[in-house]
Amino acid sequence: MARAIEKYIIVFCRYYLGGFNLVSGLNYFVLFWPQPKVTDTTGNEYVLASMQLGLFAFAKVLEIIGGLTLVTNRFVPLGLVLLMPVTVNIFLINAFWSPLPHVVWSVSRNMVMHCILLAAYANYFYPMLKFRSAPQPVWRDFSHIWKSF
Amino acid sequence: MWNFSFVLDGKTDMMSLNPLEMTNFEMMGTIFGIAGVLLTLLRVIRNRQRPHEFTVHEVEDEPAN
Repeated sequence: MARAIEKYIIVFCRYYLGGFNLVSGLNYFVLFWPQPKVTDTTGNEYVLASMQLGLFAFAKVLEIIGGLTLVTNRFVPLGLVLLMPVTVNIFLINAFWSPLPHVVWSVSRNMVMHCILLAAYANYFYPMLKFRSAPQPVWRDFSHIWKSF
Repeated sequence: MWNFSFVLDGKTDMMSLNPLEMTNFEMMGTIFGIAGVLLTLLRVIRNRQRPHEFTVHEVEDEPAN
């Protein structure tokens, strides 16, 4: 029973985070709803600078790709890694600085869900904990890529 | 830029901590989440083999030597 609950919690987190990021990313390019207004906080200038540098558009592309991987359940570990910088940045900008409790709650929830998913798919990340590692360049054998599919 | 005036919810009190008060993105996330769980449940139920649905395969007994 506990296993079943665990499974559905992971499924919910995956679809929630996927749907959230996919729609948020798409909304930047295809305006379904008005973009959320940037509130007057300490991180405000950072957000405006990232918009001017085009980082915001790049983050939205990552959100679309990451969201699609989570919703379609394809390349989920890759999607989680792609989305991590976006989730962490949004969390750091808002969680400690936003004057709006709803925003603080929302970004914290997304961060927690992301951590739950990273922990749930941890078996794909264990190889990163290799203490001493030797390089195995991809250009020596490209077939490794499609063998991994 | 295209603009579909597609309103899902629109208004949120950003000072509220009520989890049922959601922004459009949160609501889409919740819809995706619930739909995903329901789809997974349906898939599990569909793939479950019930005892009365076992197909009988007749196997000819080979005579014992």
